[in-house]
Amino acid sequence: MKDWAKDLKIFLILAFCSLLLLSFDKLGFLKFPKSLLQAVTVPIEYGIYKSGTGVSKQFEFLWISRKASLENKALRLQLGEMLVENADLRKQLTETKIMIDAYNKLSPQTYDLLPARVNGLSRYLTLDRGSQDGVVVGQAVVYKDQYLGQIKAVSPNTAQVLLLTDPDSKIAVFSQGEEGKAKGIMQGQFGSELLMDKILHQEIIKVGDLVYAEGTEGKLPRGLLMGKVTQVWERQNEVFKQAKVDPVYKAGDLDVVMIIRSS
Amino acid sequence: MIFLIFFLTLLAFVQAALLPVNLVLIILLTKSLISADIEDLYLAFGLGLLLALLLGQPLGLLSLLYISLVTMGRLTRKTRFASYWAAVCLLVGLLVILDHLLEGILFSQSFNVQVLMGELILVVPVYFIVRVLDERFVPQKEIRLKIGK
Repeated sequence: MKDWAKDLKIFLILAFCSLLLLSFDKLGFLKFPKSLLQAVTVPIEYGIYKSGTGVSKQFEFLWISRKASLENKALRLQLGEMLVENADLRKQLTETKIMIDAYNKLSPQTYDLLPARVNGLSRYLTLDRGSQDGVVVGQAVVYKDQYLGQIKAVSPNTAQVLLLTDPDSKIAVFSQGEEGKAKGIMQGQFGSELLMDKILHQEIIKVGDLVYAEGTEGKLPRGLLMGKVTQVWERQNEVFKQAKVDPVYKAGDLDVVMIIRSS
Repeated sequence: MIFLIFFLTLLAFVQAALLPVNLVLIILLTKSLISADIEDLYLAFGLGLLLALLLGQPLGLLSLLYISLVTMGRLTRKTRFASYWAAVCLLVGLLVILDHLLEGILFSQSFNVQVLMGELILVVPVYFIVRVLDERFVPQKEIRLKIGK
């Protein structure tokens, strides 16, 4: 009880002093002593503040560099994703352009065209479409309006193309020039060469004439471009004439081709 | 005691210049609940005046607030639950919250929840530090045993 009374007494004294100081401060009597004291305390406060900010700047540098490192990592990741997206978009744009070209040459109302990407080229051209996309053996493969070959083998996701320049390829064709027309059989030669054989002597064929498919093979539409005549061999003691034909487009230079699924 | 005064004065300057956390009050309240020194009231009064001067607040208000809170702490010190550290920390936390509310009313400032949460978290480690320092470094009064007739 004595302790409580002592506490209460001291509390009341200190509370009274506080209220007295408060009223003097409100009335402005303590301005001068306050300014004298602040002349001492302000430099100390400033010194502590400056020291504190100096120390925090050292830590801030660590934090900023860590943040910059994380930002750099995130930006690199984003850049990688954008490059991949850019590459995809470029591929899609190329495909779309090729499709537009193909549709301009071969009407989509007549032909069911399927774009396919070239995956490889050895003796046969490998495409990234297969039986899952409706590709079957014998379908024609074109680029714009030029015939490239026909499907030789099909798996679920890929297809092999027998190129026009393959020796196993034999297509009925005709040439068209200013002076006339000639019919023959186009046979591939190794080394990307084409030979138009079985041309009758009376039929006219000249260098520069364009060669087209007859379309007698079933799945091959008539009028597909085969190539251009670059040389004609005519020997009187031979039954037929022959002509060397160069294809307009080389299969090895192509990225996207079209498969004619039906017509 | 001199060391304590010096340390609390320095802490008051740090509180005014850098950290807005009211460590001075937390230490005073914790000490008032651990030890029975009457000097706690004088410390509360003096540090309240110093802080008011440093923070540019009217002299007397903060010291009145601090001595009121320390007196409340001292009054509850003799109760039974004050021997449990969790109860002491809880009581100090409640007094800190009360201080924030009263300062908000007296100085027309908004309630800063983040600072309050920081102070409440600091109550527990401050309690243990003050307790260890009080037990190890503060000389206690000798206990005189009454020997029978």
